Amino acid sequence: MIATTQFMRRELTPEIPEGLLSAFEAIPENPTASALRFAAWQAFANRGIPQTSDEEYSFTSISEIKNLLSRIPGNHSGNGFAVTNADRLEQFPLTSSSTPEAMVSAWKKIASEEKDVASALAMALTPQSIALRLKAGKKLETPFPIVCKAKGSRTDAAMYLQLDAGSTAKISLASEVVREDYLNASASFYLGEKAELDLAQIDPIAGSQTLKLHFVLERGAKLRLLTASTGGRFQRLAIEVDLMGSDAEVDLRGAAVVGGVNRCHRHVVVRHHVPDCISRQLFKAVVLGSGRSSVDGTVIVDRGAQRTDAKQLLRHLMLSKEGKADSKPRLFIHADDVKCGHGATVGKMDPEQLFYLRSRGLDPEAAISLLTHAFLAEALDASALTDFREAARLRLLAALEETP
Amino acid sequence: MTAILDINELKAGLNGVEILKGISLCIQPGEVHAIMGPNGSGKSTLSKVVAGHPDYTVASGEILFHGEILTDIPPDARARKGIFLGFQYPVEIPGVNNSEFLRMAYNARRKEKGLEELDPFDFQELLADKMKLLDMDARFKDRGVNEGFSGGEKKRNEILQMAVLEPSLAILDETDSGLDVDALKIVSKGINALRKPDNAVLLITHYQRLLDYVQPDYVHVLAHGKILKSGKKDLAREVETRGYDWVTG
Ligand SMILES: Nc1ncnc2c1ncn2[C@@H]1O[C@H](COP(=O)(O)OP(=O)(O)OP(=O)(O)O)[C@@H](O)[C@H]1O
Ligand SMILES: [Mg+2]
Repeated sequence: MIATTQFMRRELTPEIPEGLLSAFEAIPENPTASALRFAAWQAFANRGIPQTSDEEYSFTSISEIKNLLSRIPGNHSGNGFAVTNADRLEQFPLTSSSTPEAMVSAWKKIASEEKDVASALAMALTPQSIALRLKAGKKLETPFPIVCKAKGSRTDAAMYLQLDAGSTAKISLASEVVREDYLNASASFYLGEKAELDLAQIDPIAGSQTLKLHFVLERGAKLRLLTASTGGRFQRLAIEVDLMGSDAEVDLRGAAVVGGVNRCHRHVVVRHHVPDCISRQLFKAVVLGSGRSSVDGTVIVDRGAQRTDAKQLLRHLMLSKEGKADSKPRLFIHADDVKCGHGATVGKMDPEQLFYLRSRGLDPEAAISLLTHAFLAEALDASALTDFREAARLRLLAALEETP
Repeated sequence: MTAILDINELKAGLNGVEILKGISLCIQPGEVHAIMGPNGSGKSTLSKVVAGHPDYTVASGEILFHGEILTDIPPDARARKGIFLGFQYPVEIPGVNNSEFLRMAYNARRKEKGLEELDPFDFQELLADKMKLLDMDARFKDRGVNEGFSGGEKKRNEILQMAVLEPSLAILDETDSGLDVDALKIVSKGINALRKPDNAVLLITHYQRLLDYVQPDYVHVLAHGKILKSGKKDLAREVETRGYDWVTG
């Protein structure tokens, strides 16, 4: 291992800062984890830190990404992904040799093929990654919380969750980041045949975060995701879904209220590799103050993925002149028998609806809150994690009041 | 006695176009007035100006409500003071729960009167009573405001809101249009229930039909932004038989 990184030292370029390589080398070696981390490092090194704006970072500030990704990681113990009640799932620290070989190699494959630079770095630089598994047929009825802690200027964290065939789970994912800090995290989910996952994720209340959520769905698997955000200094969520088995279904919904000077960016890629899958994307964001929101969503239908049913709707509600919203819905269809639709809207609050509510005695704040609530409801209401969803709703509506 | 609504020489319009060209109208407590008039004459404009729609500007003249000049009062404050507008075309607001919204409106008005807010359970009871009065299915409570309501159902929902809010002035803009015979009777019952010595109603209508059930004290004919003729309830019948040309010349 050391020999290989020495080879890499000779390759150092501005795209691969020395500080990051040193941080990578400083993490203690361990046969299981190092193989994964090394694969991830190579995936990162193939591309390096982006220097100029490209498709993948449309609408986001490339200098901001560059600055964040070049930060030197700290080494706070207790950082990273953690589960509190692990006995309901099986948990394998990657420092242990008891981690099933198949899981490690599946994760390693994801790491080596990772094109998202931030995510590759998260997997390469994480001091302790966790791997979780839910056994075949097992059902987690009560929601299972996963929290990612990030203390210090920069934290890298990675996790992998495997849902074996026929298992079902409700999982919530939240991270704790403070003002100037930065969390770079990557979470991969494997849904075996007919496995079902209800995932609800909420961005941290402040600070900067780049988070990658990657999903692989086998035949008949179902994924429902709710992502909620009020933005932060810089927050970017990348979602990648690979539909690998037919009759799989994915429903992605995002709700955001981005005010103040907050940033919230979403980058979504759903790939239909096989026939007869369904995908839905519904992203709604309210922009106020000088907030900025962008949603960049892509659906790719591979050759042979016949009878694909893919829909995508990206909607922004603008409550201020200073705010900025961008959306880019894209479809790449390489099959001929498909049902695909997409749309994007950026609109203001309907003045007639507003007048109607006010004509019944609701003051402007209450009327705007009610209409915003209504706008977001469609995105929020579908999640089966009711408590988490209601907490997210409250936070989003509170963000509405914070910005005048 | 102070009039409930006192409009003096009101000129108003929107986007620089004058639509109301000098309207005067005085409504005393306990009275029901009806306004008739050809399409485009300014009836809805008048109702929206009184309710305080922000798109309309008052060029001159004034509107007094219980003796208070309304000009600078925003629409929500006017509503809390007791002005209710039943819209000619009620908007649909998907995602805003009908009964939730009505409870907020009801409590906003109670707060204005210095009363305590009604808790959700008591409000549900009150709402159920009013819905029974208007023969409305309980399912309408849980739908989005006017979402997917038929034309007649929307009008009935307006009357439900009026019945709950108990305004001191109700302006009903063509609430009778689009109602079937039975619904018209029910809606009329709702309007008559509001008819009390200290309330007033302004009905905007094209048809005598409604006025058979809700008998007006005065009828006005509005044309080209002006009230051209006023009279007692017989004027409505006369207009219906002789047409507006008879008034506008
Ligand atoms: N937003 C607007 N932009 C331009 N013109 C308008 C607007 N609203 C109303 N008007 C015009 O003002 C005039 C009066 O309209 P108003 O809706 O008050 O008529 P009305 O008497 O209610 O007619 P109806 O019997 O058809 O309901 C019409 O000529 C109409 O076209
Ligand atoms: Mg009209």
